[in-house]
Amino acid sequence: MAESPLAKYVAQFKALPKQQRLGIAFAIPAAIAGIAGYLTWGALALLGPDPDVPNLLRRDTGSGKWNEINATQGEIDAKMLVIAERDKIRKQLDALQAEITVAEERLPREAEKSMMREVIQRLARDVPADIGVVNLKSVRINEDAAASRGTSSKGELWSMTFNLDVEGDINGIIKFIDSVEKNPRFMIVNSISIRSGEVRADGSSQPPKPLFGMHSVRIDLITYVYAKKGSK
Amino acid sequence: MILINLLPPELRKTRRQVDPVLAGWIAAMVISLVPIGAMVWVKQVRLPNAARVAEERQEELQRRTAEAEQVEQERGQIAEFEKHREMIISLLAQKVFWAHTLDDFINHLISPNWQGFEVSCTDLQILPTSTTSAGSRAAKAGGNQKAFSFRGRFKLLGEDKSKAGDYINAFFSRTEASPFWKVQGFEDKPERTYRGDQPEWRKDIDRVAVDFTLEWVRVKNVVTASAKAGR
Repeated sequence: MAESPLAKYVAQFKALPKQQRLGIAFAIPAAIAGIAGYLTWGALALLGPDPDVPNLLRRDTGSGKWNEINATQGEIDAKMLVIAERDKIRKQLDALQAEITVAEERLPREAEKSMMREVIQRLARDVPADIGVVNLKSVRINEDAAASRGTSSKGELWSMTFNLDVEGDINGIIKFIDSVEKNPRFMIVNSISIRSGEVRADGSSQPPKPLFGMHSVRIDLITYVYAKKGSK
Repeated sequence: MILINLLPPELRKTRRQVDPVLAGWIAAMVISLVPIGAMVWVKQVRLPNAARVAEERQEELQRRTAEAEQVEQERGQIAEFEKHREMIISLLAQKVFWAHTLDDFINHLISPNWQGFEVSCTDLQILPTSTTSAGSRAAKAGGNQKAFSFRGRFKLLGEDKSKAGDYINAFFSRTEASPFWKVQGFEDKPERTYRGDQPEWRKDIDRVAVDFTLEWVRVKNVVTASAKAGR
């Protein structure tokens, strides 16, 4: 029967001097350990600074998997700092919204424009007789469509002017202006022109007493109509 | 049968004696398993674990990024809201009240403190103006002031024609010292636009009449929401 190659190698190995046989025999585990160690070292470089790997074996080349994980964690921490401000920001928005709502409520909406004229008429009518006299002779409304007084992402403000012709005594006129200025619906008295009434002598009394005629007054009131974005 | 071993003791094989070379070789093989084991542990356990952890972190990063973007959007809204609030509140702050001013003005005219004369206003015009008596002080103040022209036609009736000048000076000085002038925000002096007069004796009422026109400027400081917040 022919010898197998393995048996041949074994026979050759046994034929070697003892020193050589020992050298070859111990070289095998050394080579195995060396190769495994090299491959492990490379794998540790790929792994990076894994916290579960003992410090002695940890390799940080800057490009390992755990370097990538740590960088991602850093980004997450930065996002968390931003997210932590969410409550504070929402509180601030709520407070601003509340202020805006209160301020907006003072301005008439587009649909309430005609109502403003009625408000002015009512204020003139409501001047108490014991304070003074006011007659509202005419009201003209001018909308200055070209003069937007302000735009924001939430809406736009348009000015609207009411030109009033009024007659009355000075107390009634002052009371009327006061009522307009104090009305919850926002109105600005932009201009006033008062021409005093005629003073005549009352011939029926001696000495003649002066009779004061009604003053003629022209008042320009301005209000701002608020149109929320998308409502026009 | 009796077996007799004639070899010297050192050459006799004992069943219990292990070849030291073999033992050393076996030990070396066992020790070489340590790096093999480490290699397997790193490649089969730690690396897949790291890949899994990296994937989890990436997913979490995506979630947190979306949340943070939403928070940043809301933060951006603050600026919009503030601008909107500023727009409305600055308009509301521009309101100048005239009822009290007119009331104080009338009370000032009909005051019993005028000695020897009476004052009336026959024509009054109140209009917005862009400049103040100090020369665009409103512009210097950064546009946070509103100015109004208060233009009146006055008639002064005095008992003594020779004292017409005294009556006019008294009118100016008492007006400047009055609460009406100080509290209502009028600028400069009442006589700033005074251009002279022509007293006329009126026989029908036994009085000297002096007609003159004056223009005063009333200034109101407009406080915006941002100024209130100290920004």
